[in-house]
Amino acid sequence: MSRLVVGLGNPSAGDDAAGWYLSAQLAADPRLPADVEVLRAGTDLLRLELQLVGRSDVIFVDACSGMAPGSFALVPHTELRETPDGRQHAHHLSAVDAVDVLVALGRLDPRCVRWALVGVQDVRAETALSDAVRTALPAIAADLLTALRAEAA
Amino acid sequence: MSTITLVEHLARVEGHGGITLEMEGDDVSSVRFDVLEGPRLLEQLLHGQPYDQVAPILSRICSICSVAHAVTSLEATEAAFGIVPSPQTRLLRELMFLGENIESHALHVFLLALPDYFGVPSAPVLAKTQPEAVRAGLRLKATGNLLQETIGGRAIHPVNAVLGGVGRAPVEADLRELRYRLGAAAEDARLAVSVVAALPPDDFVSADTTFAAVEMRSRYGYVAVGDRIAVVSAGGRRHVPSAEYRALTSERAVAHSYAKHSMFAGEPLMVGALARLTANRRRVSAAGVDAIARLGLVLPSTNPLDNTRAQVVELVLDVERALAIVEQLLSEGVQAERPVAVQPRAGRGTAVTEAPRGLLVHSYEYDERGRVVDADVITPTAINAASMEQHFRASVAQCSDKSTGELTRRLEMVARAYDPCISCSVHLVRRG
Repeated sequence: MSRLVVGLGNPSAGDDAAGWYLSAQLAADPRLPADVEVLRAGTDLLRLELQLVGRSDVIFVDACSGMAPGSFALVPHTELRETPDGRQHAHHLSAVDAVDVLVALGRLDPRCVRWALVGVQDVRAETALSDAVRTALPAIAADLLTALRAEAA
Repeated sequence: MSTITLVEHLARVEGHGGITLEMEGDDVSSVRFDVLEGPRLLEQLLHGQPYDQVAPILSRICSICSVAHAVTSLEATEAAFGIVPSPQTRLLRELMFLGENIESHALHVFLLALPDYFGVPSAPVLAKTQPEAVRAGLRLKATGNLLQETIGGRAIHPVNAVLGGVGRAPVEADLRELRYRLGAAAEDARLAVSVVAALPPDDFVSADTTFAAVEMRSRYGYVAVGDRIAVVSAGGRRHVPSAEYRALTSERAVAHSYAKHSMFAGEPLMVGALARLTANRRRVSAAGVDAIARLGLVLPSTNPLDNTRAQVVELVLDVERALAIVEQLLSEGVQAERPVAVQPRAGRGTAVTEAPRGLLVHSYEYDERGRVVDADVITPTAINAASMEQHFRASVAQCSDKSTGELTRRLEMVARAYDPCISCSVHLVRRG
């Protein structure tokens, strides 16, 4: 079975674009394992239902408030805890809720889902990536790539 | 005056908003819908842009309503340049609108609104307790996405709708797939009626409401169906030509929100599915009339939560109409057409359509080279903001014996019934 990396976020909203940029860097890297597919989902994760089903591993890459800007954490979905206002999301159904809906319907195994979270500084519309996030992305991409290569079958 | 923030971040809506009570002593003097998303300044971004960049830029006001913005933008530019699309182009654009409406309404009804009625906090919990309903909602959403992808080129920010036509017309295989999926979607739409018809009562708020929607000349639809706006209230029915939309919206900035408020003759306006049905009851098909009856929907309604029921009626209508268009295209064959040639000229063009959440206005003025001199975009959620606050006030007054927690829950239900798209409403700010 193949693995999937999904970049989430709004490319027009400052650091919320972190997932977009990271997924683009991964997709362009020749060292990406052959069994890893990379997609960008923007803000509607439910559209990806058919692409998610049947994967051995799914990693969602997304911006996360409450972490130091430019920091990185790889968190299993089963250990993810959203703050009460974390569900109040510009995605109209939060990305975590969308995954939980698919899990509840038996379409996705939560044990196969992880979140690659990037701490953000500014997610206002029509702003560029903050310096903290922009300078951290290459190292985060390298860490993700290392993890994907180490976990290759 | 003091304030009490009842809801800091409204859940299960698109974008960031909150609800605040303004107090004079122990009395609630007002209830605010706080729009917290920052300004996007897209209208100003258009100044000096060439005509062929306008629709691609403005479709990015929102990813949920991107078809409505893209096509309405094209229609406004076509009006300015005197371009008349072919009947086939009109059918294809209507299919895109129908796909977006089906997707948006399915998402809102099944995943955003229904949890409240089943007493669960979120869609994932609802998916565990009502899996068949949620699956039907996701299937409808997927069908809406497929319509948009097939005709528009992709599910968000369509690339296939161009000035004067479409880039690539669907082939027969595409249409056959759509026909198959829409046939199944009709069953899911009927299931939606059954599910929503069986919901517990939600009639805790009642207020005379002024509705505004495009007056549909001959059939129920969302784009190129009429050139005037009907304003319907207890006082009767009035009309505003689409080109005179500014008389209808009279936008003004308010201190507590990045979304401007709209009023007509001093009255807040409600737009959206309920407004469309109220203003165009005679255009509803037999299947829609049956759905209205099964849902117990009485028009005109004084309950803003009936907007969710109206969306379910539109799911039935939209699947039916989309299937009819697909059958027509299969029967007649899709013609190989080139987009109408564009000859830019100085002048103004305005288009008023019905986005999933209601009236959408795009109006541009171009110079002789086809560059934007002025741009005006008015979105349904911005129009609805003042009406939403009116219904908040009515809810507070009519639920004064309820606990703060119950009042908060009811206000959130009112807000969600409007299905606000907050990102759309903050395209321009002049605050304070």
